Amino acid sequence: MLNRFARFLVFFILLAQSVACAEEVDAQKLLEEIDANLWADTKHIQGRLIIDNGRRVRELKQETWMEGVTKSYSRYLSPARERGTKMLKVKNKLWLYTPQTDRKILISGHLLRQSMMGSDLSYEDMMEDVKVSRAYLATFEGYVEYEGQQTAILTLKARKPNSTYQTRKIWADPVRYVVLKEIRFAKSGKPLKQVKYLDYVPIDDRLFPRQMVFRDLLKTDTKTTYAFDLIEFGVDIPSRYFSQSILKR
Amino acid sequence: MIRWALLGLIRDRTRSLFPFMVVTVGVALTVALFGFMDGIGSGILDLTSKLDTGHLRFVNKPYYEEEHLIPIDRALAGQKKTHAWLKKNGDPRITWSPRIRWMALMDVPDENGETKSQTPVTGIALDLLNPQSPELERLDLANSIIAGRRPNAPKELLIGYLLAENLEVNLNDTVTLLGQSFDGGMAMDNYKVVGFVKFGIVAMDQKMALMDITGAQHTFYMDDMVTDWLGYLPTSVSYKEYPELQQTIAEHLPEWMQAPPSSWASDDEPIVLTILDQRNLRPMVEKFELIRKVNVMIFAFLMTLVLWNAGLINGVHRYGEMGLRLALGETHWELVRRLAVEAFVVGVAGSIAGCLVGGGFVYYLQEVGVDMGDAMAKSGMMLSDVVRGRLSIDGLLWGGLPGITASVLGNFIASLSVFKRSEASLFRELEVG
Amino acid sequence: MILKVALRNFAGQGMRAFLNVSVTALIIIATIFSLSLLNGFQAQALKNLSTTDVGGGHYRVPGFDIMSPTDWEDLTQEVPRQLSQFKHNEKAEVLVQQGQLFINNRMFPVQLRGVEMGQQLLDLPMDHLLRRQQPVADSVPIIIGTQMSRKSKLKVGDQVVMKWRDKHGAVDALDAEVVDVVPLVNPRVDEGVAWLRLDHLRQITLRSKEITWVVVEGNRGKVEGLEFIDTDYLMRDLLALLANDRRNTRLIIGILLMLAAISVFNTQYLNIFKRQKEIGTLMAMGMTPNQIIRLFTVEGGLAAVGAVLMAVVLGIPFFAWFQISGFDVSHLSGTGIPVRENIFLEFNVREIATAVSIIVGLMILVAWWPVRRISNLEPTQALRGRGIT
Repeated sequence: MLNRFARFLVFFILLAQSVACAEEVDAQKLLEEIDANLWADTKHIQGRLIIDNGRRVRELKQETWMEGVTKSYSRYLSPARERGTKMLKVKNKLWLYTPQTDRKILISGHLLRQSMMGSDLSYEDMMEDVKVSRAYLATFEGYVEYEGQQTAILTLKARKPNSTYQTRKIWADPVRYVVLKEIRFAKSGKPLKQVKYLDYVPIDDRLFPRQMVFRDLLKTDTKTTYAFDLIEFGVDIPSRYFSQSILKR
Repeated sequence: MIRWALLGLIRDRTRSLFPFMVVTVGVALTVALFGFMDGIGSGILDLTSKLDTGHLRFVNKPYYEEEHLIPIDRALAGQKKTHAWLKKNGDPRITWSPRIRWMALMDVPDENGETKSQTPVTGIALDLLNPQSPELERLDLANSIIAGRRPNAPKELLIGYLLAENLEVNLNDTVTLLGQSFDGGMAMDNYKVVGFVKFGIVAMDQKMALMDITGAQHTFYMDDMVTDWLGYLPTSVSYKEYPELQQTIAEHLPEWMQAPPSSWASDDEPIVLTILDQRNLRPMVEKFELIRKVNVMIFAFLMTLVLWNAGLINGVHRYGEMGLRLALGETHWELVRRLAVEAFVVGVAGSIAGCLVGGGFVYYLQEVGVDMGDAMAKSGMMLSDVVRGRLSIDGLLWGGLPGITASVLGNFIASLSVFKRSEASLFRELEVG
Repeated sequence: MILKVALRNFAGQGMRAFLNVSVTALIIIATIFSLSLLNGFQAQALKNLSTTDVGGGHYRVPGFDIMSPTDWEDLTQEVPRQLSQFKHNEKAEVLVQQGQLFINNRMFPVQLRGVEMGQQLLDLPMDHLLRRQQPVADSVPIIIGTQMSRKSKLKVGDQVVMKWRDKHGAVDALDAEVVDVVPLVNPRVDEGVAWLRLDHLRQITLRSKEITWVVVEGNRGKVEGLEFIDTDYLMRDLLALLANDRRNTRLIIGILLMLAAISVFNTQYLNIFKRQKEIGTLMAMGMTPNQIIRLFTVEGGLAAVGAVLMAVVLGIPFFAWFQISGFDVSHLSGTGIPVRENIFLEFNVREIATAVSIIVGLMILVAWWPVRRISNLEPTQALRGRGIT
């Protein structure tokens, strides 16, 4: 009798545990997996920045090389008049270069808050140089169905007070370790920006979105789409790409 | 009879020259005061119109509504077509000047080409290269450039002298402007700083730069586009006429909007504004108008008193003559009438002379201006407080009419005394004069 | 003796003398009026600038420039003890930060200006903020000026999103509630400015105890870490504008004065023509030409004295009446001039004395000028009325 009860208890505990496992997601771990999916030692991307300001749509073609999260170098391929424009980011400094001026201009401090190329992204948004899992502490909020798919909602709280967005919320696929949607909040909790990650494709052993769509939630009618045409991981990048000497004709 | 009166006037200096001179000076002063006050009134508008609003402004409505952001992407395309249309449909006295207001980050490099200093600046692009451009005189560039010279190439820049000081920019340095292009893209361009300007308003001296319109069109990718069309009228046109001129253009707009230039965006909708519609100037101008009227009325009243007094004195001066003329058989009324005619002739002559003198003075103020050289106003500033005048028919009438009526009236009242006095007593006075 | 004769002669001129006196009197009144009105205007404008913003000067964080908003965040510091210990009527702490309002999805950059609530140094209509003592929770109460209201189309009770950065650079946003739209007489603290409680602004930007500047009654000597900016510097634009107005007024008065001078000149000129016989008689009776000149000059000068008396009689009631309601300048509220309420005359005794002396002096001068010729007059010729032609 006691034996039966003990067996039942053990079974019940096990059951409860397993149910909990299925329900509970290790939020921080999931976030790390997501980062691991997105970030590599080096990356080479060819893509298009499609900026829709509500009145007209512009498309900029660019090519970017990234090393870790702190170094990135982009150059614009089209349209003709942006061709040759270069952007170099090393840690928290950003230089702009255009062949017409043959000058590199340092954008730093509060100027980084301005819109990049007229998009919904600020230079600052683009320059995020810490992995999200390092900068934020994640907590699991529950599951919701998002676009026909079971997603885990994680709330991310910034670890440091100087992170631009102190709170973020992500809709993550806990199985594939990818983010489907993200909202960035003001400290007060007011939603400010939304990013949608669309069209995940396997590249090497990762899943990477082919498109990211940014919206500024305080404005209407504007959106910026970042479409990736070519993504390569683990490429060799010449070191001069991340030196200021690249900023010339 | 007038000939006779004229001859008498010319021959007898005391009975013509002094009354004439008094009327002349009185009328001249009134005309001068009127023109001067008018000049102050227009001066209030002048300052704003030159850099900011024009007398009339033709601007895209979406741009105007977000003006505080300087939304270059709401500029109006079709520069040449628009200009032709404005010329055709606006009053021929209006000079239309295209402008681009822009905003950019100004970056000053050190000797290695690295950023030495930078600051956001606002600017105006206007026709600076054409030596015949009315903008040059409008902004008084000849005097307001305190160092350097006027741009003679599209990519040359004039900057506020305090801006130059703050950013440690020297003449002939190259600076880079980083801004947004018409379609929202990045605009980056090098400019050579060729001159420092003193606007006379600290905010502008610190943050303002001027370039030629072709430079801005190239830098911000605004080929054939401008943000503003500013219409300027000659000084002789009163601001009271502006709304009428605005109306004329506005009436033609709907017709044009039926088939707008193909380069316009679908929501482009130009509007016409007068300077009075902007910067809250209308109530201010109305109040000034009131003050001016009161001032001029007081003045005209005082002048009437003065001229009346003069007429009276001149009349008294001629009692002896009146006695003689009465003795010779002229009737009292005949005498009074003749004296009135004389006074009228003197009044008219004096008023004409006064209008000429006063008008000449006002015209000088209007065209040249007098620099009063206050401590603050010293050395050429674009918005210097040079005293200006404005010559108008109104002003001449305000001076001229009292000039004629008051002297006639004064003389008339003095001559009425011939009824009161006997011929003998009047005649006795002859001995004196 | 001369005075007595002159007085009698003067009175004898009747209407003509009266006209001269009235013209001069009116000019004296007009002069005093316009100068005093300008004084009143200047006092009001300076007072308004002073009570809404400038006070008796600012202790500012060095390098702060109201025209460089991108630097505002970096140019703040904790208020030094030396200043924080002042009483409420001796200082007002102010913190200025950049912010953005989103009105109908349009961005509207604003200056967030937090002002200490207890302060009594500045006269700001912040009653509605004063009542919002509790810390910011769901919305930030703000007050805007009437011009800002007109430009932004915001009304009392409106809620719009307000975005700003805290001390660390983190973005924050909340609804801002317009709790009042107030007439701020000074456009510089109206256009593009959203007023907050200092404690609120400090709370939402995490800038406890921080200031951009402290308005003080006057220079209190050196304060560690801050520089004193005096009122002359803070009001330099307005002072220049007023100097310009003063100059224009002087010019107009000058023109008026010339008119009066002509009147007196003309009178005197014709007087000596008309009264040659009288002059001759006086000479024949033994008066020296100088005495006669004095007589005529005094006579002419009496017009000035009469004018002063008349100006007193007419002017005092007029000025008294004017002071009841003042001069309405509400039209200026939308311009750059910090004056809105009615303007009252402000009399400067020294200025009035100077102006009146100049007028009287000028009148005496023009009374004397035409009479000078008497000095070389032949009495016999004069008696026959042929001395002066």
